Amino acid sequence: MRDFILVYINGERRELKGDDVFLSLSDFLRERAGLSGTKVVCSEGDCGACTVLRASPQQSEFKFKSINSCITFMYLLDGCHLLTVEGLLENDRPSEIQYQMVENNGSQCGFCTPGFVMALAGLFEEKKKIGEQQIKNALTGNLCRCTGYAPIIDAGLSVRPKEVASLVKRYLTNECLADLLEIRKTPVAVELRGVTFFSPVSLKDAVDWKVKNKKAKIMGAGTDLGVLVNKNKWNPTQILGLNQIEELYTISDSQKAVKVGARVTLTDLENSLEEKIPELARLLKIFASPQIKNNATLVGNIANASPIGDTLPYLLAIGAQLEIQGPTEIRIIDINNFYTGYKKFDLAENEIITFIHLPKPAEKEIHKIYKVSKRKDLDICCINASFVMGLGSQQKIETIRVAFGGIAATPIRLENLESFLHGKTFDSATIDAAGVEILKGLSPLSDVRGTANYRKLLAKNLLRKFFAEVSSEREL
Amino acid sequence: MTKRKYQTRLGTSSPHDSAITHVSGQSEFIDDKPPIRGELHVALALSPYANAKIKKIDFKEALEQPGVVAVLTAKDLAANLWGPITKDQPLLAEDMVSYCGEPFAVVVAKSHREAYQARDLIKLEVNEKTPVLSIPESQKSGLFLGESCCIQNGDVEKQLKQSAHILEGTFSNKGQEHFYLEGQAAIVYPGEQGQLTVHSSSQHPTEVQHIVASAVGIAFNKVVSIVKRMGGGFGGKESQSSHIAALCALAATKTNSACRLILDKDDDMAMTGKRHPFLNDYKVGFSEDGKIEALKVNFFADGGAFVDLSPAILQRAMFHIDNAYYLPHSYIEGRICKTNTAPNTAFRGFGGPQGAAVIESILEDIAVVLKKDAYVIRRLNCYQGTDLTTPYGQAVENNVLPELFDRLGESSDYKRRRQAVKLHNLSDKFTLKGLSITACKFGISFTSKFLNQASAQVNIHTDGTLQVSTGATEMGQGVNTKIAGIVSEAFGLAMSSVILMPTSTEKNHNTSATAASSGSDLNGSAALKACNLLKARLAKLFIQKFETPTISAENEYDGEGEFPFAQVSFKDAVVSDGKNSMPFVELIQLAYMNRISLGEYAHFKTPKIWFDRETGKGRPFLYYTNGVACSEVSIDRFTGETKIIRTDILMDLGRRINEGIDYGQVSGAFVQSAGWVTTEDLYYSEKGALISHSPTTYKIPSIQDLPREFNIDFIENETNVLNVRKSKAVGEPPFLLGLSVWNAVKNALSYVKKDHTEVSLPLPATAEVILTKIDQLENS
Repeated sequence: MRDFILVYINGERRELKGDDVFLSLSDFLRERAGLSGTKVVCSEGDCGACTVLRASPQQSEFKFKSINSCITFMYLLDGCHLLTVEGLLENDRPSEIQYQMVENNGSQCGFCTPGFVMALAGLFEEKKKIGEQQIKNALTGNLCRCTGYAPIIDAGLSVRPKEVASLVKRYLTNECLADLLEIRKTPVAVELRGVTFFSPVSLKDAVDWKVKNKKAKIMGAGTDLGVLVNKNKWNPTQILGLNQIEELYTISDSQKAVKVGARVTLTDLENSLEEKIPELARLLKIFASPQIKNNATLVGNIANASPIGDTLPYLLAIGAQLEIQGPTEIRIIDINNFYTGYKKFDLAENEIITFIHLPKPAEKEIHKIYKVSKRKDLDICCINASFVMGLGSQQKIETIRVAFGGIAATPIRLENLESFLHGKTFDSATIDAAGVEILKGLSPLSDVRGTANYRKLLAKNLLRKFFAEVSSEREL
Repeated sequence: MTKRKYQTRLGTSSPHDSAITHVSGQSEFIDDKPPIRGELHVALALSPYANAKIKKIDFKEALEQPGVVAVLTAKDLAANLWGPITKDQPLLAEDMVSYCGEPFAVVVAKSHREAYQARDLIKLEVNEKTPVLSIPESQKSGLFLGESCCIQNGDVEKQLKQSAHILEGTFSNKGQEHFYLEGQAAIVYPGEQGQLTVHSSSQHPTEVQHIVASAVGIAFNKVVSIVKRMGGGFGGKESQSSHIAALCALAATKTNSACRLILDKDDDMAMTGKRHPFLNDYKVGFSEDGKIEALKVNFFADGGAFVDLSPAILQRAMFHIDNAYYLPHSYIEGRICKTNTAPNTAFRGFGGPQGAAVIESILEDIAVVLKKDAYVIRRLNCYQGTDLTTPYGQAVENNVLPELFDRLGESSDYKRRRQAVKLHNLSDKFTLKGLSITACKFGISFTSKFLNQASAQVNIHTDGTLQVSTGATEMGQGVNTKIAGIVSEAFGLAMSSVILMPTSTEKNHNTSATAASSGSDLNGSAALKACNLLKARLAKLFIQKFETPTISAENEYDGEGEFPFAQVSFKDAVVSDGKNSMPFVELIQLAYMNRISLGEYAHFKTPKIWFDRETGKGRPFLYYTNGVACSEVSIDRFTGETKIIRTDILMDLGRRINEGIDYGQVSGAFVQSAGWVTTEDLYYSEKGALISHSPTTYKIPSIQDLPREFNIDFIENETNVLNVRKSKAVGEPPFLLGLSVWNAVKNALSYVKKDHTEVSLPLPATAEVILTKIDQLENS
């Protein structure tokens, strides 16, 4: 057992104990490590000013990827190498990316700049040939209020790949990797003033600890719970980390389904699903930001149980199966039976969601996911919807599953609508009639993301859009 | 590599003077300052009520928390009321709270977290009253801030009776959060004999100095107010940063410790004012060919709970009702409504965008009514020929608006794209497209005459390098880089020889806010004036030296006398008169050895400007900055979501001082404005609490939202001899061009019905607003 965590920061090895372990990464960097280049604006992972890079030997590649440092905690970063803006300078000279940001006026007030520089550095670690859209995608999670972004895109396009020195080569030495892999074999338990963090190396130990510690909360990436901590809305006392449990990092593939471990990041998932479940991969492209996806997990999205969680309607529509580890046995539950009320679900205190099984699309089955939000990218939706449909001869609807988020306390399947559509011809008359059907009994909320009337209008229109897209084989 | 769509046209211009430290994380912002011994943290307790009488502030429990040093209330202040125009706003609510987010107590603790935890334990006991939360409610209750004011020309009523067409309507715009990335922040260090040193993120160090002094009851000369830089300002730190600094100074004075007050984003958004929402009634008369003949507008601005800068903002809205268009007869009246929301304040454009939005919307409607192209209508109405007098009597000099309209019409391929848009909307069932060209003519100068002054101190050191101090504050806009450009050009030195020093009231006092786009104009002019005084002295010394090569031990050069110094040039670090030359640095050393002053302080005031409030006439602006923009949007017919497909901007910035910086100002202002008119939607609870108080719920444009194709270009214009280096101010004007996006949306919606109808549309045009409108149009 360890009573410390190990991180590398800009190549420097640090063993942390005591209250350092419970700080957010951004607080640790700014207050304890003297690295004030990392800025904090929103404390909720929505602006990217706090972006740093992290390399974790347990992810699919041991490479530096961008994360939000404000909503992750040191205890979740045990066994990682972290890189801040201070670590990019090369012999006190700006790196190529920094140089191009200067030359192209990519920085005005400078407050968002370190975050942009880090996100760009992460992008160039991954790829060398970079186009405009890739730059935009890599910077979706970074807000700038001064430049209008055009000069930043210029900077990205001006980067000369040959001049970009590999950060992996510079920082991720074999010694560092060996050190991190070795330390991960030993579980961690840190206790400080009534707050406990435990990170076991086996599932069994995890469940045993959860049985004994009823208030224990699993912190995956903390991309959601971290916000609550920062906003003084929640103070965890018993924290269970699953970071050191190797098997939870796996993605395995069978004929009918993809099995995804609880610790698989959304980035790794997106990359692995492109062929197997393309519609979900497409959704993940506009899901959150790279910083969130490089850290957050699909199981986290499920257990967060938001009625407007981005992936949930699709998981309902395809009938994803959750694998749950209890004290003595494993059970499998259809996600359609999982949610019981607002932020409530069928999971006992002594259980852990370990895997999710994603059924692959049947041949010729039509899958469509929609998300409507104020801003297209990095926004929580007003409503979202998923359609899975199989058509027979003469456009007869043979199978149909429809799920919506944002219209009730949980994401829901619209079973009445499904039975209405089942067996009918897929044409505009059916869809018009279904548009009336869908509104029956629908009483969504009015809130900051849209009024009840707008949500109703959207529910009807997404059905129309689904029909328009399928019948014209065109996507918007 | 992908073809670059953004031509930065850097030319010879230097990058931002802080660019290197920005990109390497070494630039110091307020909260990056290392803590000093005994430093304390400050948090503010904010009212959860919009309108209530305070019965009791109970902070007993908060005071007992570990780490808490003090809890302070209004009773601890020497003077509570403050305001940039009218002293009507309490620094801390005392008898009543007037908006959700109004501070009523200050917690001082040993750590940031302890301060925040304790402030949540302060209990505010009140008698709640019904809050007034909108302009109509305030109109109904007769609650206004100040009197109404008016500008008029010609005879509107008479003309309205004669015009062939009349349109009447109301136009509303919502507010906008500044969303500077660095929140409001201050650190105050108590010094000897009751003196205070204040570091704050402020556009207005002098006002910080004054409000701090008044709050703690000391003389102005006991406060030094310093601003190194801001992480964005946009007007949000013009007046309201003084409030933050004053509360931090209160904490520092009462605890006699250094104190740090850093507002987190949620508190900042709840507590500080926004861009003003407006609700305006208008009536316009126009001819058969589409010329506006008479315009009557009643502006109502939502001032929030206190006056702040509202009268000046309303006035600028009224000054910009004409935008780029000639109004032969007009009657413009304005009034500020008092509501129980945060006091609304300066925001890039300062009312100008709200004024221009009205007439651009009207022009879009005129085109639909007359079944003509809106571009043709705008071109017809823009200032041209002899139609060059604004409603307030100022002539539009060196007018470039027709040229801008014509050139952009060509370069944006407007006619062909108009046809394409029409065809698209006839056949496509997925998306609606819209296209619009709008313009701006933005008046440059503070409309309060006395604010148009600035000072600069230019010091030359004996190694030939310079330090320059002015009253301008750096918020990313590059004012320091521009001034360094002016100064280095004046002395013929490399940019690296000139450093702009932090702004401080002990060097430059009685300064105006860095605002009204005028920072570079005013402070650059003052700096240039100081440079010219120094150059004259140095040039005379130069002539003296070569004309009197030997000098006795008893005498020395004095750099004075009648010499033809204008022929002496300063170029490439060499001083020369054509016959003789010497390195700049040697001349400087010579000056020092001869006891000639190498520092100069200069004061500048803008010439020519005046305005008579009584008559509503004058020349309030030194000149106008102009621009035009063409935007095309695509709207998802099923969801109302909008994409900007392409924007072309053409600006007149005179003879530009720094092309890279000006490009960034145009691009940044446009995108910020595109956010205002589309996705930025302030949302309040029924009780008046701001719900969209963080980036999770308040959506400024992301990098995916800028136009898919974005072309920015400039005309060459050397006519602006009134301003420093013939340049033109850039900060605010391009913000008005974001209205092209909103008008393109309005244009797209006019195609929903086959008979091409005018569509009343509020601003912002969010996806919800648009979809609701499409639904109404389809089912009407």
